[in-house]
This record gives sequence, C-alpha cells and structure tokens, in this order.
Amino acid sequence: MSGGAPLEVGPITVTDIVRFAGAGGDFNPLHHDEAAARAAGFPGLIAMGQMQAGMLARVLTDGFPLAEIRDYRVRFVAPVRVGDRLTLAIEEDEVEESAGIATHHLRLTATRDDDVVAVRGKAIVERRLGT
Amino acid sequence: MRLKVGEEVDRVRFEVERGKVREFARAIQDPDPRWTDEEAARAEGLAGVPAPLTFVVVAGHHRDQRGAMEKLGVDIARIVVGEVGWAYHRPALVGDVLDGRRVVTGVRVREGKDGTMTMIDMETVWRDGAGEPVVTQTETLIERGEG
Repeated sequence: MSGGAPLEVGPITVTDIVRFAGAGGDFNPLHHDEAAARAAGFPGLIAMGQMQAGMLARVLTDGFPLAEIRDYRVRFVAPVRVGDRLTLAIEEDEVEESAGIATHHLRLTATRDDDVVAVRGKAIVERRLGT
Repeated sequence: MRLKVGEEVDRVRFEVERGKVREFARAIQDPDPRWTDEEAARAEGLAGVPAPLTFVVVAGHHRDQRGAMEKLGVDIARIVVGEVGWAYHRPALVGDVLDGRRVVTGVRVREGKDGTMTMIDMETVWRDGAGEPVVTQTETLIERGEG
C-alpha cells in the first residue's frame, strides 16, 4: 500500500472542537473561549492538536490492520482554526524487508485549505510476509 | 523547571469504556465500524472492540493538568504541545484498565529572540491490569518565552 486517496474533513466548526474537548477531556479555554484565544494572540478559537492528530490517524487505520501498526507520531506545525478544511494524506517513504517482516515507513500530513501544513506525522507498520 | 529527568509528573488509571470509544471515534470523525462493532473487530482478528490510535488522550479527563504544570514548574499560559507519539505494543481494547505514570525524560533550554524557550520531554507507559505495556506515549511540551 502506498497510501489511499486523501480524505477531506471540515470546514471545522466550533461544535467539532467542543465535541473533541468533551471526548478527550481538554478544557483549555483556548479551545472554547473566544476571548481567551484572542488574549493569547490567536485570531479566534483554535482546535487542539490532538483533534487533528486523531483525524489524521484515520488514513493510517483505514489502510492497515490495527495489530500491525507499531508507531505513530505527530508534530504540530500550524494551528487549525474554525472554518479550515483539512486534507489528510499518507504516503510511503520506504519498505525494508528482513526476517520475513516488511517494515513500512509512512509519512502523513494534515494540510489546511490555504495550503499550510498543520500536522506532520510519521508511522511505522510491520507486516509479516507471505501470510 | 522544577522536576528533573526521571521524576514522575503524574499517574492516572482509567478504563477503556465502550461508550467513550464511540464518542472519541465520532469526535475524530472516523466512521470505521471497528470502533463500535464487535463483529468488525473480530473479523480483523481482535479479541474485542479496539480504541483508536490516539485514544489515550482521554486521560485528560483524569489528569489534573494545572497541578501537573505547577509540579513541573512551568506557566500553563505559555505552554504549547510540540510533538506527541505513540508506540504500540498491542491494540488497546474496550475493557482494558490502563495505568500510566508520566515521567520527565528530557529538558532542553533554548535562548531565542522571545526569551528562554524550554522543551520538556515526557513519557507515559500505559500498562494493562497484568502490568504488560499496551502503548507508550511520548510528548514534548514547549514553554514559550515571556517576550
């Protein structure tokens, strides 16, 4: 697998952010209190990185059995704001084969509709060969 | 920074609950049936309904985040999360009770134009009831300068 078609999510609403706050337990006012977000220097409410990280994981779990996913990590490089649309994409960097196991190194990105990358991710998947 | 490398920030324990997994999957807008349907999970060879890859962030409901930042000795208003990672030992399943000790693994200080920036690396090994590791979470918090 070298990555399926990119997924589109959004436009992100305040409701989406509040729903994730409730699901994940992140009640930092930056994510639900517009005045607090502005006071911190943001133009408005911003989503918690963990929301985008969770959304981005879907392009990985859509493509591989859960038990083969060894590692997933993300770097938050730009905020996601209310109204942003995100394109979630995955591509394969390389595959190493050794001792009957193929190790896939994958690169993931969540990109805003103004072409700014919001999240960069990496993943490692290990598949047993010949099964 | 008050804590040193190797010191514990906090420790929480929570159950991977079926309803919480459903709620989390909906919040990340992932309609995959494996997060809610026992049969879809079994078709994949899993012993039960699994949790999404980043599910352990729900520990936020159990942590005292403000208390943890005070213990670290950082200003919560200047904290941003830079990086988060998860290394999987096995999929977390509904019914697992996960116990995680969050420990400082590194502290880096950088002088920039906006003052002193501190990067704090932490690691949480989430263990199941038998004490076996399920997922190891790493996170890097950045305390921005006051400038």
